[in-house]
Amino acid sequence: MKLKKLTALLLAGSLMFSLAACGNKADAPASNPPAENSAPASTPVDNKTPDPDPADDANLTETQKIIKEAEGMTLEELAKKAIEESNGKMFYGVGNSSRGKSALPLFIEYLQSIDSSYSMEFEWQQPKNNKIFDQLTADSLKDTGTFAMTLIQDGNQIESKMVQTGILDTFVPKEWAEANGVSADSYDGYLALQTLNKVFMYNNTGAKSYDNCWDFVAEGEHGLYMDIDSEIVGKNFLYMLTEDTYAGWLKDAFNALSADEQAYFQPTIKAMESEAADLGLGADGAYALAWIKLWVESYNAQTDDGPICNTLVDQSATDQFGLLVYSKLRSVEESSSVSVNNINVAAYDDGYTGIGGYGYCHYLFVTDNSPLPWTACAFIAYMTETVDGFSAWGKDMGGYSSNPTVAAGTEEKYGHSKGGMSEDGATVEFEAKNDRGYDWWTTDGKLVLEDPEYCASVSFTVGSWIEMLTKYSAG
Amino acid sequence: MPEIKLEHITKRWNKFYAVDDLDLVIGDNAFVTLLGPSGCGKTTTLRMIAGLETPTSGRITIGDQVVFDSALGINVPANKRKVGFLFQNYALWPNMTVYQNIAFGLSNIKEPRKLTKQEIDDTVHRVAQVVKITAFMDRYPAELSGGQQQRVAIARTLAPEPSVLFMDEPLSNLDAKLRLEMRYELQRLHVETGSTFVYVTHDQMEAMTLATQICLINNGVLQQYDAPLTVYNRPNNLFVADFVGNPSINFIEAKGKQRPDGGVELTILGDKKAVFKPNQPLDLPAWFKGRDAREALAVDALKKRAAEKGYVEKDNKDETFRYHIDKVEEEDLPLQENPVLTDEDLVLGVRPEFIDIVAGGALEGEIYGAMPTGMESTIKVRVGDFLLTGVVFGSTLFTIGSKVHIDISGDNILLFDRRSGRCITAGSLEC
Amino acid sequence: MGQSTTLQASQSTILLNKIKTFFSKPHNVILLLMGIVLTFSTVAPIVAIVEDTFKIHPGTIDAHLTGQAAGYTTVNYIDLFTSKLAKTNLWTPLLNTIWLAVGTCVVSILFGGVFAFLVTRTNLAWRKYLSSIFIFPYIMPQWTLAVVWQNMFNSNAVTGTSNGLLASLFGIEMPLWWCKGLFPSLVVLGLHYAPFAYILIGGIFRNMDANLEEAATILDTPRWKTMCKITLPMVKPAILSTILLVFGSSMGSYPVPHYLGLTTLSTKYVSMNSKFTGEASILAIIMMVFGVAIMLLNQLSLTSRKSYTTVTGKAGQSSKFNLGRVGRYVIALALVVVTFFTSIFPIVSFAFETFLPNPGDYSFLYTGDPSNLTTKWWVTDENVSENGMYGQKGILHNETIWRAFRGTMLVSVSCALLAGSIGTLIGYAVAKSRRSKWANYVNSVAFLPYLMPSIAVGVAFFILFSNQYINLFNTYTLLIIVGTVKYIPFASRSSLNSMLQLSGEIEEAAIIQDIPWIKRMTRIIIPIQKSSIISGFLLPFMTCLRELSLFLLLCTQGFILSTTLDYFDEMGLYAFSSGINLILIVTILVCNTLVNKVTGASLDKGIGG
Repeated sequence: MKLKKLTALLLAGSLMFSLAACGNKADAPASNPPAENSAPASTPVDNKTPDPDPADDANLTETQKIIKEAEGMTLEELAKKAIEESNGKMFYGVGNSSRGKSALPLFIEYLQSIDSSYSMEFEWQQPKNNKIFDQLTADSLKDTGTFAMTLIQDGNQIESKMVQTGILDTFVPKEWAEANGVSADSYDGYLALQTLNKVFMYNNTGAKSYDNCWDFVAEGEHGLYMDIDSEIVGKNFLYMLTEDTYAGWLKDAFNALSADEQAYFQPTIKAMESEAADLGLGADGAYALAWIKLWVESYNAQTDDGPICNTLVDQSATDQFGLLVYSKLRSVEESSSVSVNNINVAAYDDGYTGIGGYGYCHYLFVTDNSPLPWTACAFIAYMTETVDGFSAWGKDMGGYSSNPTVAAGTEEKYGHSKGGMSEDGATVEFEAKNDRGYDWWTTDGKLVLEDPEYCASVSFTVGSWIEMLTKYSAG
Repeated sequence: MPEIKLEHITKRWNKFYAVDDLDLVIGDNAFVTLLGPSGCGKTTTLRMIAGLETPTSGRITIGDQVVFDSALGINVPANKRKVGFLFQNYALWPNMTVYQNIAFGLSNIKEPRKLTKQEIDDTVHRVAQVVKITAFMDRYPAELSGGQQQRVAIARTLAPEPSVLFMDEPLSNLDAKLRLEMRYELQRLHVETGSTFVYVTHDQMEAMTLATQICLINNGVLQQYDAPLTVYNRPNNLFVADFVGNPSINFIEAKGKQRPDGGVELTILGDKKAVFKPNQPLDLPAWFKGRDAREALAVDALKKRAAEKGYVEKDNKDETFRYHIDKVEEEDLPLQENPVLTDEDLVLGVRPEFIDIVAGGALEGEIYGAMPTGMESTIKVRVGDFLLTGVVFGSTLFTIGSKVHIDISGDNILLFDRRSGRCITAGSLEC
Repeated sequence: MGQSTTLQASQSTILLNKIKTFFSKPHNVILLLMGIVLTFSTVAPIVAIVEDTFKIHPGTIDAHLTGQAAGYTTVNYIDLFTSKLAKTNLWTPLLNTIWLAVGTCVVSILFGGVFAFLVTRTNLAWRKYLSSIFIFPYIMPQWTLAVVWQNMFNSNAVTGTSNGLLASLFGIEMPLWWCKGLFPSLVVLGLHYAPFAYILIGGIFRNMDANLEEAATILDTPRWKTMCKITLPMVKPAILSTILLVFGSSMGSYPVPHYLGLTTLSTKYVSMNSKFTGEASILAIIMMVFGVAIMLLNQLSLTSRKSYTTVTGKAGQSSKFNLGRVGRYVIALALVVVTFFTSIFPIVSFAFETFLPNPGDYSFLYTGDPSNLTTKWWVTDENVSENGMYGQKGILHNETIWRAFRGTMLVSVSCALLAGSIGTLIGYAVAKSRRSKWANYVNSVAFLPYLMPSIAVGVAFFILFSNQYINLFNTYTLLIIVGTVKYIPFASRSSLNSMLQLSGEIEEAAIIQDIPWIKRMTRIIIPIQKSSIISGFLLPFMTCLRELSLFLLLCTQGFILSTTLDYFDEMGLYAFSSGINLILIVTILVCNTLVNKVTGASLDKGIGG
């Protein structure tokens, strides 16, 4: 009996292998993407697929047609379409944020409030490292994909690997467009769910203070930062610094330094001038390159922002600093040696000059071979148009909805600007946890914002130049 | 009852011929021993007949069924050949008790019908009684002595009542006394079961005492297939003469020609003259002619085979047996140049029992060594530089170094051709 | 005309007869089937990954350099080997990898070998305890020791992080080379694989005929000379097998160098994957080449020895070195301390970690204030109120963890059953037809995946199964296939070794009696060799349970326990990762004890035999 089972297992195993082997053979000639996808793939870099000429409607894929139709609908209309499409079905989503898993049940609840008989199973996957791109690429090869939509970060790779290849389509919800004062037809960016910020924080148990962003790359400093090769958005931050505005900020900050401080950086900036010219950067490019060079050659690579946060809030981490996701502060539990008050957010300090951190987006896309395009659109609209839909992220600090209405609603509901106050709501308990909000960060806070298009355009110029730098290694 | 027939059976591993073109017929109800030195191919032959080894080429028939034919691609697996096999190391299943070991095979019999539990039980007890192991039925093999394990193995083999029983050196792991005892039992079993026994051994004594036919193999080639006494008295060649018999046969190099009266005039043991008188009329030159013709034929046949596709040269070449001449001062054989041999180069083979110590013996010598066992004494006599082995019955005591006279008596003196190693004839010797 | 047809007819009969004969032997059927299947399962991924190195990937370096979005090119090779980045992307990691692999071999052989010697050949005290505790590091996920190392030695002054245990309690700051990079990586991996050396070398020590040494002693040879000239050459085969097993494994290890900040081919593969996809695949191929090279070397040394010599010998009195009345306790105590840090301390610290208020927050140790401890990581049953849980529920209520646990069990059990059965059959079939070239081929091809670095195997299978026809990413099917292929060698090796010890006559005795094959296997062969066959099932199970490098690229984060564990470790949620570690260790210990009690087989008898 036992042996029979064994043999059966064995047979099943070999069957699987032989199937796999067939698949491989068949794979060889099929390296070209399906015909319908090849058109967008060959379009020039600066022409985005979600921005088709109205006259080209015939060239649209099925999903793009649905999106076009959906862009004219309100959330409620979309919800009805979604109920029609996905009742009793299985919904697969994939994303860089695990919170999608919390948002989906809320979405289903919302649909049930319209049609109480509605039900949907779901699975939310969060691939590791950079695998989301491979996963979406692999899934795109199928006629009908597994994933209905995705929540994805790293504009640079999205642009080159996902959008230009026609794997992902942007859907611009009607009410979102209205709230932002744009129209679906004219808007040609990606749809962002939220902006996240990574900010400079330093441990304040010592005497050192950091009042200029150049202090972070001064002699002997080693900032804690996620390795730019494992989290690519970190690299995008460096790309963005070379953009004229931000390079200008760096120059301004440099000018605010004292003369002897300047003297330390001057040779590096000087040396970068020719490099900046070679890379075709603007007038202040040398400042950006100098900062990047000093940063890459000094930062202390960590596996994630979590450990960085854990390190900094410990009282023994004297004079350490890091560039990490602001929201990590929410999870610090006070103890004898650990406290949020052990750190300062550099940008909140009076007299701080220069960039305060880096802002990047979580983008929402419908897969071009989406099995449930209507539901995907409705879910996206729900997350970007309602406070409830955004609450999976909105309940915590450091994430700012791209929809001003939702952002205001979230602030009203959760009051992150007073997140560091004690129970009475007036005394400041944890200064660092009083989130000053998106508007402050993007203006006074001098947040460097990710621009996917710019990143993609310099990834093989500035990008390759960065690869050449010798990273600081603590080992 | 089946007869086993082997035709042109060859087994080789790459260039090594374990068995080379073997033809053999094993008669029904025979007790055949496959005899030969270690590594001569006898076990391989046995395993091929049983189906445990696949011959490279040839054909094997058991009864009227062809069980193997390389040309037709037939190869009946061992389990369908309905034979019994007794392994050298018994191969008892260590995880089963004695009873289970014997019963396991029986419980698998499906033709003509499945045996009932009762039938199995009866059979097990019957065979257990035959080999006298009824007392250990619940023990595991590891808890038995070598002899007991041997019996269990026999019982297990006998239980399904095979009409052919193969045994691969079954007694080699037993001590001398037990071995003798088991020999008698095997003999008895052969008579009782009426099966055909094929028995592999390297012990010529065992072969001589048990077999109805001895099949002597060397280097994968069949040397002689005859009844034991024929093998002893009329060996085909130097190898057979040397291998069979204990103490070994004496070889005496001789040089000489046939006289017109049929006797062969010889010079032996250095400078002694002697005349060999064949029992049957002999025409020596004609014999040599026949030998040469046969050799030429063999060379031709080999050439023909070599031209065939798939022929592989035999790495372990067949050579004429290098007999051993016992001398006081041993010469290093391999260092000797191969002398050019003519038809005058002959070898005499004298069994020890034909060396007689008699007062008026023709040859003069001295006692070089003596091994009395009580019943008889094996002695070595030095004649010139040469040593001759003889057997003297009775409890005579010999003093080493004492002078004696010996005679070579009897009409079973063998004359061999030195070049081919073949036996020419038997006769008597006059010194 | 008529003649030729009869000739044809007879020819086809001959063929038919031959086929019939061939298939009447089960081991032939197994060999044929496995040969084909394993060729596919080994060669197909390699072909897929080779193809990938020539393919143009949109948005990566090859597309940038060729200016095309699809098609084939050799630009990946040219760029990887000749560009200005060749040193950073290829040569430095390659060198580091080789140093790491060599260093790991040295550490594991020295540590494991000396330990094996002490346990088997001396009158060391507490041998039984030491023997069982010694294999713990192999049971635990390999990077847990790396994390322990960090928690132990990191210091603000040296590594620029918060203070580790040693620094915060005693103010000891270890130098940088001790805390990060090559040295800790090879020590950690060496400790992890030392049980291999212990089991393999110990096996020989145990069975070694003491007469060999005694003969030398009688000739008045000094002890050290006996050791060098007689004992060491005897264990050479075991050392070679250890190298065989450890070199490839340490080479393909991703997590340890990743955590300890060493750039190796495997960490480089992961970091290059986004922008240099094709070139990263070349790195995977380079790792595979090493695996194949090691196997060929081993094959060479095998043929030169001509036979599968197993050092047997009568179980005579093996002489034990006398360490002295004090010595045997002193050395034992030293080992107890060492194994405490490699085996017990991690477990204790994992347990402790799950009660800390913040990851790595050891306030309790220097304040002694119990309010600096918490049970929230275990018992929190909601994820709405944010109390330092990063939006997770406590371990006991965390569906992600328990779903991953179920997934891991499914994968491990399936892999163990499949790899165990297939490996056993292969071992059987190869032992049966040892002389045939095909059998040797099947044996080698079954062993090859083990020698190829895990991460490379994972990559290859990912590429193979990501296409429009089969897309198995993030499915248990894929993990089971990959795990099975990778772990067959465990089973085939132990099965082959045990089958070779089994006299062929044992089965022939059954064949002669017309006992069907299945009955021969189940009633005779498997029962006789059950302990090594069971370890052929047990080893894949345990290894699979904690495998990361192999599965890293094949599934998402919450899919199985090891990826979940790694995710929490990376996130810095050491309470969760420690909790998972505890769950894993307890699971393995329970399974090992159960199997041990039921069948008498155990892990430390298994590997390599």
